[in-house]
Amino acid sequence: MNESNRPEHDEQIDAPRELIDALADLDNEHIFVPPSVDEAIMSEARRHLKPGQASPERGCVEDQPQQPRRRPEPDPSSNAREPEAAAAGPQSGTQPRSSGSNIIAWSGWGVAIAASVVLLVSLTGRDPRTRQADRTPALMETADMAAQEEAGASAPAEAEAMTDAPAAEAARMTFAREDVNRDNTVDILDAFALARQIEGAQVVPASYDFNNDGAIDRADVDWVARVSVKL
Amino acid sequence: MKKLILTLVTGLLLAGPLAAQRAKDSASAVRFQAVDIYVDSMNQPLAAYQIEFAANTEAVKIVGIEGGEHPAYKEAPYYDPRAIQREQVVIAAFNTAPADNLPTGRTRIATVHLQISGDVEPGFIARLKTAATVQGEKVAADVTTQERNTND
Repeated sequence: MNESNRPEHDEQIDAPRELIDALADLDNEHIFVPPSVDEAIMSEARRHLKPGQASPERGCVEDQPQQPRRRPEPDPSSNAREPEAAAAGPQSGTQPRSSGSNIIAWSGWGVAIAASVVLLVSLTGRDPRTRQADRTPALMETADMAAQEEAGASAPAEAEAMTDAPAAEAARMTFAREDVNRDNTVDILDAFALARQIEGAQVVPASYDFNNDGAIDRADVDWVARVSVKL
Repeated sequence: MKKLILTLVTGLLLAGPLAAQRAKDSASAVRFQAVDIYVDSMNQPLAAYQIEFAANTEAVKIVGIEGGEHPAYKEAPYYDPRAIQREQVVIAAFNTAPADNLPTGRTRIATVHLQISGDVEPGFIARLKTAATVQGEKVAADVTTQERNTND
């Protein structure tokens, strides 16, 4: 989104008290998982981690049928041994290989979570236009982004005008990537529109490089045309 | 009497295979036909069109598609190659030339070549999906087909 739309989002910080409380209680919410499902998952997990010794520990799950489905977050520093404790039973001392694999598994989770956080931060911290250019999925995000793409760098002034409700609604509309003329239909008119843009030396969005050859040319026009006649 | 019976039996023995062969020939008879597709964009220059063409029987197989009569649409239109050997196709074309170089009124924009198996008289449907003029504005247009026999 454009920077000019930020104040609109900031106003939403003053949310109703009930919403804030509800959001704060999210972590305390317990999701009911039927004991049979829980048991099946746990037994499968134990069977995987401790081959040949899965059945003896099944009872502990049945005793706590309403355990929250969310698993505790692994803390590499303080809870490194927690998985071992969770799996502790009469056999834990005789299964050094199992505890080792648990540590490896929890370490893997830790690394995965850390990587996710880094990825999230890097994505949210980047310039929105950069993210826009990197986009490759089949759907364009919003109509105002598409308008920015078509108008190039001069778009922010137009985007600033989109503050009323109908415009915001329109901004949430999505278009197929090939829907160049934004009429919600992919047909020959999209190829025609792209051809006119290219021949008219207009600024053409990078996302119109449909064949991913690094250039937006007649081959991309043909690509859209072929899509439009596909059976 | 014996002669008569013998003649009848011989006649039946000969007529059976001949009748079967004739029926077989009729069923496997293949002919070719071309169907011209016309678009009438009235007084508007035709800059783009997209048409869905279909036959009403599977005895018809599309074997080729060629362009139209006007220089702007002389080249074969876009179509899905998978339509070949099937009974329906979507064809489309555009031209970014100025209005003066585009056809107006009724013009043949493509010809579909068909192979027809068996003794059937197929029907054809051509439906306009979209048409536009030079600036990309959609325009109303009529689509018609005209059959011509290519066996002659």
